[in-house]
Amino acid sequence: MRLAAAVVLFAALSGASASAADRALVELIGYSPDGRYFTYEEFGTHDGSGAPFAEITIVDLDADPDPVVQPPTFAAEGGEDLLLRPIRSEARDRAQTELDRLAITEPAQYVSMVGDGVTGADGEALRFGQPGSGPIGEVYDDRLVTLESFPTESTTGCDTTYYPDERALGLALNVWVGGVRRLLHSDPLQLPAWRGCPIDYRLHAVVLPYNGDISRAVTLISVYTTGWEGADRTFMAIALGK
Amino acid sequence: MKPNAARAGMARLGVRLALLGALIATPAAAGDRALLDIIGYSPDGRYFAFEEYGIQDGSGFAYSSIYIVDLPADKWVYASPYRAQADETNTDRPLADVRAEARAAAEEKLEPLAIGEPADILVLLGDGVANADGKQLTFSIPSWGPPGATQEGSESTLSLTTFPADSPEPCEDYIGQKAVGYALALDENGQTRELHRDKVLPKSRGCTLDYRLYAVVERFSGGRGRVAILSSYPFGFEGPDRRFLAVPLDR
Repeated sequence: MRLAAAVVLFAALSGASASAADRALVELIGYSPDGRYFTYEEFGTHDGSGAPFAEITIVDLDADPDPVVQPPTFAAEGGEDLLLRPIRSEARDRAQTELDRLAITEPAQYVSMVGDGVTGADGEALRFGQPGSGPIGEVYDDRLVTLESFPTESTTGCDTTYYPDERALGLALNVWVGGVRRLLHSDPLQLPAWRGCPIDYRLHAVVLPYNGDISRAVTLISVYTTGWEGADRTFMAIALGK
Repeated sequence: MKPNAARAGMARLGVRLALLGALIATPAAAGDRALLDIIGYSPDGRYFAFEEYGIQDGSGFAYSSIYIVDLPADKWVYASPYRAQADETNTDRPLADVRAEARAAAEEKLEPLAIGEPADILVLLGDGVANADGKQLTFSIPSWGPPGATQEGSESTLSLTTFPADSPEPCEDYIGQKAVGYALALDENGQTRELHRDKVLPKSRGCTLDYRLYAVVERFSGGRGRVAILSSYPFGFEGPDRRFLAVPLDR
């Protein structure tokens, strides 16, 4: 299986269950020195309640992952009267022991991104390569990652209260190198429970470690689920380098 | 940049070839491509902080510089940038340690200014995107509509031009040409506004060879406070270095 999201830690702080149309942001925390572990934080404020949330995810890029395994979560109570900043700090504190154990000290860099202000991008294709060290703008090993979605079944079911026609979607991810397509991942016909009921996906970014090792490339994917005030956005990570 | 605003100019001086002579003595400082970490905004959107960091190519010295910019004034706040760097006494000092030192030093300003509101990246031209010249970026304001939606009519375009510019450094002696300056214009709402035009480059910019647009960010909470991040490329002995400049869009 090529889904690299073998999550070994998922620290979550949430004042409320993910409710209304919250568009999480993501912050890169980094890699372990050997590039095996990649870590990121997603955070935001729930639209309906105003409650802040932060989640830290550590991905084992070398694992033979089982995507049906639900990431372990560590949750704490928050509330709409709390501010985002201390909640983020609290999430970091909760994850710090594991971050230290895995020596997550190497920076990560965006090498390609569909920013939230890019108009007209469908989020289904993203070019990326390894930044060069020579002329300005030089890029080695130019590649293309493409995303397709297809109807599938949600283990948890979909909330049809406001979205009667919504159906869970799965995703398939391909990488094109020199015109040759390689399938990296394709969801099963029934999604694992921790995936909930995704109704859309978009490629958000491709990330490399500081040393530019393209074999440790990771794509961050925006995952949209139904919310009270529209589609909520969270993230998931899939390794591209395998 | 206003000519009499020396510190305003310094707000854009992400480039630090401190002294080219020093680089000649220690050619180790060349060709490093700094990375960017956006620290965030103050709650009122007045202050914006970011870190540039990396490892010098030749020496292998890790370095970190944290800039805190007063956006309406377009200048660094007092004592910024906060810098840390490995040196001959501790050449193998890890980058993480150096970054932590710079961050700890910067806390004396980050904390009282309550800088912690996240930045939303509206557009970013990653270093892994081939065949992009970085001279133009188009972006819009995100909306809360369908996935990927942006606000209708909010499209803006930044255009970057470069030209030979005078420098306090003897760049023609060092690199055989004048340093390069830049002008930045913002096209939105049917109007074009020049945000910046170099005259004499500030000394700390060194002998810059080129510039590229890197990103545009805004406050997570929305509103004004958009900032353009530019890559600047000062001369280095093992290839152009890369540093960052921050240009406020909503002054």
